Amino acid sequence: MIVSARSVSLTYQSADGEVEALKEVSFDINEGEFISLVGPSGCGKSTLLSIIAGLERPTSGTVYVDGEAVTGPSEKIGFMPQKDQLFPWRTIWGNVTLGPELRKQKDASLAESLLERYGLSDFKKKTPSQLSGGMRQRCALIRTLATDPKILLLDEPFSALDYQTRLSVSADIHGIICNEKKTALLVTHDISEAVSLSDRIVVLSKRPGQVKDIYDLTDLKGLSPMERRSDGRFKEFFNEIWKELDINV
Amino acid sequence: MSEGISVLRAEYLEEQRKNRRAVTFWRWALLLLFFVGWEAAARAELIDPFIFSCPSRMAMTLASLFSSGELFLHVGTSVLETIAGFILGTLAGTAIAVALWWSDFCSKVAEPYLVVLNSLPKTALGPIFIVWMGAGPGAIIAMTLAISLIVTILDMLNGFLETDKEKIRLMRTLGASKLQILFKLVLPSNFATMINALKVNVGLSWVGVIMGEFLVSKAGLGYLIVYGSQVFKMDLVMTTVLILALSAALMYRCILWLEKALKKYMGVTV
Ligand SMILES: Nc1ncnc2c1ncn2[C@@H]1O[C@H](COP(=O)(O)OP(=O)(O)OP(=O)(O)O)[C@@H](O)[C@H]1O
Ligand SMILES: [Mg+2]
Repeated sequence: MIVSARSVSLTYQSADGEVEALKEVSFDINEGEFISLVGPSGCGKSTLLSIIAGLERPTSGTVYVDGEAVTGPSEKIGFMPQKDQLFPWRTIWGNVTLGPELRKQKDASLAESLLERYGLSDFKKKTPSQLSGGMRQRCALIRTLATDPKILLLDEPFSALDYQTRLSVSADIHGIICNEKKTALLVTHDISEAVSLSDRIVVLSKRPGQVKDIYDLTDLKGLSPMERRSDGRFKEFFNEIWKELDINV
Repeated sequence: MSEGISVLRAEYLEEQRKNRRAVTFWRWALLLLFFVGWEAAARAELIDPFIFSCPSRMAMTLASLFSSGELFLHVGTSVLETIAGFILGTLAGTAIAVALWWSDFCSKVAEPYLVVLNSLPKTALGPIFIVWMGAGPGAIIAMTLAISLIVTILDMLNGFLETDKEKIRLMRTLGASKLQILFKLVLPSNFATMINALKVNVGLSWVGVIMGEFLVSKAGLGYLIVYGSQVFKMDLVMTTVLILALSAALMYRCILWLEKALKKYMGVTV
């Protein structure tokens, strides 16, 4: 087990009162797994990622990464935020080497080889605005991979893309993550995205977020995201999770 | 060039060109009309040139200012004071805004002071500066600072606080220290805010300098205006106002050039 959350609870304190965001959340992630986290809006998904990333301390409970309790940001964890968040005042090269630069590492050969491997070498000197949405997303992933983390946390990284682009970009990013043999935890609002990409899906209840169910998609293992979408079992999983989320319109 | 362009496009471009030319023409025509009208009114004794001056008398005043070398002394003094004022105002304002961004506590403590100082008419402080710093450029620059500093602090701090939260989250997961977040994210992402502060401060610094020179000074455009009105040399007053308008506009132009150069240097496209 590379990540292990044990009874993680977090209550936000503010002037207006308390907000119980997470309650007794426990789950494990095995090395190399691709896990999705779904749940109603405001149920504490981003909060959970912040705790695993070491940006937020839980009120009680502990998260272990590689057997060690998380106390602060660590090199083992890479984070991919909402939208690509590339810095427009930096070139592509300046963006993907941000991590090594902040950690004062001189060696940027990993960033170099990742750009090479994923066909972005020619764009090094370009600015983010000169790239398409899909390529920007690739750059954002390479920026995260450039510090060689073991675990990737993705917080709705595709939410700003339109539907068509989203289908291909999510498959693309999924492919790169598998290719690099990273463990991933993806937060998404999109159930079909979760079913098409994941090995397992963790469903959180509405606030305070608790683990409601964990779906095992081993049945679909080996199929590409596109193949999964046209598989008969896709709809079953979709419907079950949909019911579980209990979204009242 | 003209190959590949459709007839419709060519017509549109031609239309645009004509339009631009007409605008330029009327801009100059209006200026010319104004001065010719002024001169004519003075010659026809519709207005008293002793009080309202007129372009020919202003031209003569300008020539004598130029030949005696006074022109450069006064323009130079005011321009230097203004540049000192807006550079100091922008730098000090940004530095204080950084300090307030850094410490939540300090910014909470400072808040009521900023609000009160912001609503205070800064010109009221003029006489105090003169007493403290003596009648000279020091008091004048202090005046310009008083006018531009608080606005700069408030604008910059606002910009800093609006830095994208997700970007800060990203920086933190990459192991960034607060200092790194400041220099590699908050300051560069507020480049536009800074340029904007610079533009506003050029204008405010001119106000401060002229105000200051009205109160105390032995040189400068403000001094010339006050001196001219006291000895009833309206030609001198009008000429100086014209020079002032040109200087201020030219300086603003320089800031626009600076902005362009900086953007190019930084590769900023936003
Ligand atoms: N710093 C904070 N102080 C107080 N309350 C907070 C804070 N951050 C988040 N919350 C509250 O905690 C709850 C969980 O927030 P979180 O952002 O983790 O939800 P989420 O599942 O990511 O939501 P979404 O689907 O909208 O992204 C929300 O009700 C939110 O209002
Ligand atoms: Mg969220």
